[in-house]
Amino acid sequence: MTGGVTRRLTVPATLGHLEALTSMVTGLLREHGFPEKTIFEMDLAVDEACTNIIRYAYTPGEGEVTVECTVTPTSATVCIIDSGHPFDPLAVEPPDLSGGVEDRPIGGLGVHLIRNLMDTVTYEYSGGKNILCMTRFRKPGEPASESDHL
Amino acid sequence: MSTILQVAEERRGDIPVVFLKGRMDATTSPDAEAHINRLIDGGDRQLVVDLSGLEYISSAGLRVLLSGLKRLKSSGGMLKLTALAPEIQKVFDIAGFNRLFPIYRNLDEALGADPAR
Repeated sequence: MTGGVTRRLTVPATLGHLEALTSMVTGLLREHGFPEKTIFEMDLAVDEACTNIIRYAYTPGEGEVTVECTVTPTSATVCIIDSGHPFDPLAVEPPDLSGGVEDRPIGGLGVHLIRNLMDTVTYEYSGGKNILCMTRFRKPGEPASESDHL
Repeated sequence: MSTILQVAEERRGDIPVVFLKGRMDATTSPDAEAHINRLIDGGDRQLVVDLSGLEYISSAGLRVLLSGLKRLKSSGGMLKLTALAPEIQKVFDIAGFNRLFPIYRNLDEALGADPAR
């Protein structure tokens, strides 16, 4: 990847460290002039992926999660890496959104949100690690500065 | 951007309005859940949740609102939402929650609407 800037952070896999991970990503995107809409969606995708790892990948209180964020003039990519149980979130069946309130299961929406908000999502299990990478492209015509606050 | 969730409550007539302000994620959502559950446990059946101050919601926040709606609907009640920012609305749309909740543009509309809706 040419012209990219990468920032990486590894923390214990606990909810108390979640904000440090999302802040690292949103801070880097903001520094590089990504639109607030993209920053919101990247924040949410990183939050969902890391929350899943924190809740399910390890015996509670154990393990670490690494977030690596790379920005280029045309895209932002975040890879989330853990050494927990092998788990492919992309193999999860999409939730059934057609039912009423009574039928709707509580949960299962995190991966669905990631898939819908990101332009590409890839998963691999390599060297004993789960590696989930998510990319948002900077669309032509999208403002390159913070001119579209929520 | 805020990293906390402020939960406030105000009664409008008989109807409790819960104001959620800030960030509703896995860390902060339990506060909102406890508040909503306390109202339902106390006998309230019509609830309005004002999201005008909400900057962020993840699936953990969606889950709290859905479980509140489930509890209320199963006992003949309703949970209404008002004033969703565009990004919050988009999350609701993707999750299909726009079809589950009555959503109003502002608090006055929510309070004026037929509670049986």
